[in-house]
Amino acid sequence: MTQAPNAPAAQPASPPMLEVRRLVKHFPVGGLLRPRHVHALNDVSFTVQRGQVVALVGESGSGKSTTARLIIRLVRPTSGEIRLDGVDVLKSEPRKASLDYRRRVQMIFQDPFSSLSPNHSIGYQLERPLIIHQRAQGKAIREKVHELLATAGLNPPEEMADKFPFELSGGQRQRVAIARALAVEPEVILADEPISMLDVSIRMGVLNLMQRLKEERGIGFLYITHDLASARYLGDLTMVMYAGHIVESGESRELMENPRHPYTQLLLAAVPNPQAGLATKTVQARGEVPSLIDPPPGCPFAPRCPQVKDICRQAMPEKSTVGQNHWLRCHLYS
Amino acid sequence: MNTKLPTPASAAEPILDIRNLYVEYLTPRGPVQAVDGVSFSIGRGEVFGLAGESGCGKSTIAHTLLRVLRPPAVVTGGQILYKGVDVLEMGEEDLRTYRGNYAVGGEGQATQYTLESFRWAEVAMVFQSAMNSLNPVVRISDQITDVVMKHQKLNRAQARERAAELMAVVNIEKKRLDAYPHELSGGMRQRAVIAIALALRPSLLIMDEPTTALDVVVQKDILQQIEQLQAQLGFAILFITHDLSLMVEFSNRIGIMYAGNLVEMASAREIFNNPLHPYTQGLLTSFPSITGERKRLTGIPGSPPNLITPPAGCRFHPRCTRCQPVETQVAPEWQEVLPEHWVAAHAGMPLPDRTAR
Amino acid sequence: MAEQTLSPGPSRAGFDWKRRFPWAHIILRHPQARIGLVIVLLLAAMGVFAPLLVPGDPNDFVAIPNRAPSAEYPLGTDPLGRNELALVVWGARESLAIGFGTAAVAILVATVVGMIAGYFGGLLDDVLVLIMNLFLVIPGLPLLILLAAYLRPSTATVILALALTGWAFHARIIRAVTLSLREKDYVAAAIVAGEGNLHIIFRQILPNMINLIVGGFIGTSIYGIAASTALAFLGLTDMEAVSWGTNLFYAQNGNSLLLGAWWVFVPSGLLVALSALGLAWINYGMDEITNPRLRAERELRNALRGTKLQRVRATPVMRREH
Repeated sequence: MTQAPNAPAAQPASPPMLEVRRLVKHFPVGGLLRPRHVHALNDVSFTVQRGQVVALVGESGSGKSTTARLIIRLVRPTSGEIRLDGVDVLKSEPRKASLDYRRRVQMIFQDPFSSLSPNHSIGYQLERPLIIHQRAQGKAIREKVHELLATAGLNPPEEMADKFPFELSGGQRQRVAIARALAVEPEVILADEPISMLDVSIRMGVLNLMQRLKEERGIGFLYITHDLASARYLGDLTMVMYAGHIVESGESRELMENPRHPYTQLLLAAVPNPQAGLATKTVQARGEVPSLIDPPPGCPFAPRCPQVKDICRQAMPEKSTVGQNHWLRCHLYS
Repeated sequence: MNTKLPTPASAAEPILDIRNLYVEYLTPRGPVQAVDGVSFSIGRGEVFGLAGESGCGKSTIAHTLLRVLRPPAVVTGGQILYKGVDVLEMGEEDLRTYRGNYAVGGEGQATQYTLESFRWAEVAMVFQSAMNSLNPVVRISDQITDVVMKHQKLNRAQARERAAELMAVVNIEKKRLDAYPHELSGGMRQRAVIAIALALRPSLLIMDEPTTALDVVVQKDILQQIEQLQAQLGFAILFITHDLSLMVEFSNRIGIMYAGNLVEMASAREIFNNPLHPYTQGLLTSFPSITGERKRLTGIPGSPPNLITPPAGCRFHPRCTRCQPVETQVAPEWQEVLPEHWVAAHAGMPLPDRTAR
Repeated sequence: MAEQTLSPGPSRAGFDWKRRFPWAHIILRHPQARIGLVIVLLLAAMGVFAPLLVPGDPNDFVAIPNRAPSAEYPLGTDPLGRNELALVVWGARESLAIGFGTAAVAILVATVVGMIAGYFGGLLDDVLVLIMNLFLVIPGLPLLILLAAYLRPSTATVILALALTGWAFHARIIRAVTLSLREKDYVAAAIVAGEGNLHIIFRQILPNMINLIVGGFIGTSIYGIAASTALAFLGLTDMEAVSWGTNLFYAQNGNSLLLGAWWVFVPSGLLVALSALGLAWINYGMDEITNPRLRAERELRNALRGTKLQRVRATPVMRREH
C-alpha cells in the first residue's frame, strides 16, 4: 500500500491482537413449542491491543461474564467473529479451541477458592500447563514453576510449590491463578472480576501485579469488573455494558470525567465517592435491569432513562463518536 | 445525601454502650479470640459504621448484640448496655411462648426486658445476604405478618395491613405483597428484608453487609431509602461493611476493626481526612477513586492473622510498616488522642500535629 | 510487592499422611467407624483363615444331626450332621466374597456409566439415564429370582444378578455429582489450560468423588451380603456352596426352629447382621467426609462436653478474667 509522502500514518502498525466482532449469544430457555431465548449478548465488538488493559464494566446480567466465556471458548457464540491477530478462530477451529489458542489466550477466574483444584499441590497445578504446552522439560519444569511463583509475588517459591490451596489465603490463591495463566506465556489474559472476592487491603497488590505484567511483558488484559473505580485505576480503555450491549466506550479517565450515556452517568453517580466532600447527588433513575428474555426492540435502558425519547423505544441506537476513541450508542447523540 | 455531621456521643445517653466486650469461639484446637476487649457506643439516631476485613470480628459483634451466636461462641467478658440494661444479663425465656408488647417493670423500676421482647422490637438486624435467606416457600406478606403477630396482639387482618404499610415504606408496590421471594429481584428482596426488620419499629437497626451482593445502583438506591426511613422513624444504625468508601459516605462515626480489636474510632470525616492508625491509613490506600489524580495505590502486604494464636502485643505489627519493637510485646492502649478521635496507640507512636484540621 | 508467607506450613520432611489422605484419617478417628472397621476385618480374617481355624471340609458328616453344642463341637451339628462351627466359619468366605464382589462390579459399572453420562451430557446422557431408570424400575427380587432360575446357579451368577439389580442406584448419584463438579471453576480452568477430557475426568473430577465411591461400595456390600443370603435361604443359589445363607436354608429345611436347635441358625444370622452393622458404621465415618458439617458438630460436642453450654437459645455468657 502506498502512502502520500508526509501523510500521517493512517493504519496501526499491526492488526489488533484480539478483536471481537458482532458477538451474539442467545441461550434457549424453557418453552416446549416456541422456545424463548435469553439475549445475553447482542452485537458486541471491541479490540484489545498488545500491552493494553481494556476494562469491561457492567452490573450483574450485563453480559460481561458471558463475553469472557465466549472469548475463552468455554461456550460457543450464536454468531459473530473472534479474531486473534487477524485470524477468525471460530472459522479455523469451529469445534473446539486448539492448543495454540489456549496458549495465547488465558483466563483468571473470579473465585480464588474454587478456581484451584483442591486435590493437587500448587506446584502440580503450575506444572500442568508447562507440560501440556511443552514449555519446559525435565528438571527445568520445577525451576520454571519457582520462577512463576516468584513473579507472582509468592515467596519463598520452593515452599509455596508444595502447598495445597486450602493452606493459602484468598490473595495468595489469586496470585497462583495469575501464575498459572502466565505459565504458557500468553498474549491475552481475560480477568473475570479477579479481586471482587478478596479482602480489601490485598486487592491493590493483585491489580498492581497485573499492571506490571502488562508493562513488562506486553500482555493485553480484558479486565471485567462491576467496580468503576478499579476500572479507572487499571484500565486504559473502559467499556460500559448494559443488558448485553456495549453502551459507551472510551479512555478511562475521559469516560469518567465526561460520561455521555445516561447509564454511565447513573453508574458514576452511584459509586461511593468519599472524596466528593461527602455530599453526592441523589441518583435519579429507579427501576431494575430489564429481563433479557426476548426483549422488546429499542434501547434496553429506555425504561429507566431520565432523558428517554420516543425513538428510544423503537430502535437500538447506532454508534456515535463524541471524541477521540470515545463512542457511545444513544439517540441523544445520533 | 446530606453531609454527615458526627453525632456527639456524649450529648445524650447513648442507645447502645458496649464496654470491654470479649467473645471467643471454642474449637478443638483452642479458643479463637474473635472479639478482644472492644468498647464503643452508639447515640440515638446515629449511624455508626464498623469497618474491617474478614476475621476482624465485626460480624461477631453484630450477632452478639442480639445474642444470636450459637455455641461454640461464648461471651467471656464485658457489658452490652442497651438503654442502660445489660443485654448479657437478660433472661432466656422460652421463645415459643406467645408474648405481647414488651414488658414494662412496675413500681419505679427501670424498664425490664427479656430477650424475646428485646430482639426485634428494640433491636433488629439485617443479615448478610439476607435476601438469599428469605424462606423460598413462604410469601413475603406471610413472612412479615408472622413476625408482627408473634410480637404484638394483632389478628391476621391487622397484621396484613401493617405488612402493606411496611412494604409501602420501602417502596415495594402493593401488588407484590403476596409474591414469593424468587419472583422479586435482588434489590426488592433486600428491601423486603429491611421491611421485616423494621416491622416492630426498633430503636437500633444492625445491618451486616446489607448491600454487598447488590449492584452499585441498587445499593445507592437502598441506602438512600434507609436514610429517608431513618429521618422518618429515628432509629440508630450499626452499619457493618468492608467497603470503607461507602461507609465514609453513609456514617456519622466510624470504628475500624482489625483482628478482634478496635484500632481507631472517629467521625467519618476525621477518619477519611486524618487517619492515625497505620492500618486505617493502609486501608485508605486500598480504594481507587473515580475522580482526581491517578496515583499508585499499594494496599497492605500480608494477610489477617490466625486468631487462635494472634501476634503478641499489637496484632497488626507483622504487617505494619512502622512497627517499633515495643509493638511486639505490649498491646497498644485505646486512647482519645484528639477530641472524639480514639486510636489504639503506643506511647511513642508518631501523631500528626494536633492543630491540623 | 511480595506477599510474605507469614506462617510457614508444616515441615516437608516426612510424607504427610494427614494431608494426602484426609478421609482415611477422619474414618480412623470416628469411634463408630473404628469399631465397624474392626468388626469387618475380623470377619474377613475369619473367612480367610478358615482352613486354619477349623480344618477339614465343612461339608463332612461328623456326628448325629441337630446335636446341641458340646466341647467337641462348640456349635453343635446342623440337620445334615455337619460341624456347625465349620459351617459358620467357612461360610464367611462365600458370603463376604459375594458381598464384596457384587459391590466391586456394581460400583465399577455405576462409576463408569454415571461419570460418562454426567460429563458428556447430551444424547449420550439421555440414553444412559434411560437405561439407569430402567434398571431402577425393575423390581429387584423378582428379577433376581428369575435370573437365578434361568442361569446355572454359581457364585459368579449370583454376583452378576445382584450387580445388575444394584448398580443403577449409585450410578444416578454419581451422575448427579459429576454434573455438579463439572461446573466447578477449577474444571473450567483445566479446560482453559488445555487439559484433555480424560485428564479432567480422572484427575479433576474423580478425586472429589472417592468418598462417594467408597461409600457406595460399602453400601452395596451390605446389599450383596443381605440379598445373597436371602437368595440362598430361598434355595436359589448353588446349594453345594457353604455360606451363611445356605446354612439358614438348611436350618429351615431341617426344621431347626421347631426343634429349638438355635445353634443352627442363630450364629449365621447373627454374623450376617454383624457384618451389615460393621459396614454401616464404617459408612457413618464416610458420611462425615461427604458432609464436613457433621464432623464439625461431633467435634463441637466433644469440645463442649463438661461445660454447661449445650441446648441454649442465646449466646451463652461465661465470664472470666482478662
